[in-house]
Amino acid sequence: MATLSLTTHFTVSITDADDARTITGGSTTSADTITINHYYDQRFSVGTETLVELWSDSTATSSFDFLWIESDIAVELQLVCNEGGTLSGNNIENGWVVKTTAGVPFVLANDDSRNMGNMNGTFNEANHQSEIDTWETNWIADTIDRIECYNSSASDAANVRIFVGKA
Amino acid sequence: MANVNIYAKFDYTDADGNVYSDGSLTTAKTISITNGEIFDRTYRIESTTLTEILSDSTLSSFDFLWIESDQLAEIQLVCSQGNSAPNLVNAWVVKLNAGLPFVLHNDDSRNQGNTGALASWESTWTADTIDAIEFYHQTGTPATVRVFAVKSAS
Repeated sequence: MATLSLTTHFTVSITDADDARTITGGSTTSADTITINHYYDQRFSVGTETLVELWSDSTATSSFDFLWIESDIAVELQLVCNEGGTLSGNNIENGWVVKTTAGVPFVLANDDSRNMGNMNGTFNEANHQSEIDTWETNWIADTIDRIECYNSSASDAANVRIFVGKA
Repeated sequence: MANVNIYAKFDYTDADGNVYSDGSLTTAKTISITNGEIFDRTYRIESTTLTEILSDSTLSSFDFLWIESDQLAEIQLVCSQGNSAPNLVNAWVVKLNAGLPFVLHNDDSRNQGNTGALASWESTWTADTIDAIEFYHQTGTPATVRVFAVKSAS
């Protein structure tokens, strides 16, 4: 059994003359540990205005307990939970977009999310909006199935590393 | 000038001795927050109690976000809260492990535009920002949750 160590820390120094202080979180000396036995490590060159699938549960590890994605320019990631889930299956797929900052990793330590259930039996805007407000009861526990990357830059390709670990 | 200095690093050695690593604990990534605003609050949240922990009514946007809970929990991120097509609200749930922070470096996301369709999101979904974050857990033990968010002046 192998262990991945993850260390995360931030500091903010406020330099006001009469109110100087430093705010911190996390640690550089105490790591969080995650058991990893299988992994997927890939580097992509994502062309200008191009969409690329970085990971899916059908082409790499079937799930993950650790995710690290880092790009040298800002890109967008779409995370999809329960890809292909439907109204009739009471497990409508759900997706979300995160924008990264150049050189700063996007990290998850768990692939658990929720699909949108059955939207009260009817797929329409009103039920979509309503069940967003009652997600803790109407959405169903599920996992992330796919991650795509979109580089909107018209001039620069993105160099993207993805490291996925699974227990 | 004030900055958020971010350090993140992982280290992993597999069973065959292959070493994988990325990030740094000595070289920070920085986000400028000169003349910015800071939201720093620690909540005590009972089990099965849905709680809004950040919204654009308390901090209108953010350029850095740190959420850490001492209990296994879920957060819901909402983009374009309350909006209808052609800027249809979108939302997503992330599970947080106890003691492991969830970090974002900006609040940019996308609403669902005119449709809930997930395919072709890069062209049919519309750029927007995260408006609200809710927290929920079912561990049976009250959760201590720190939310730290920073908005730059610009």
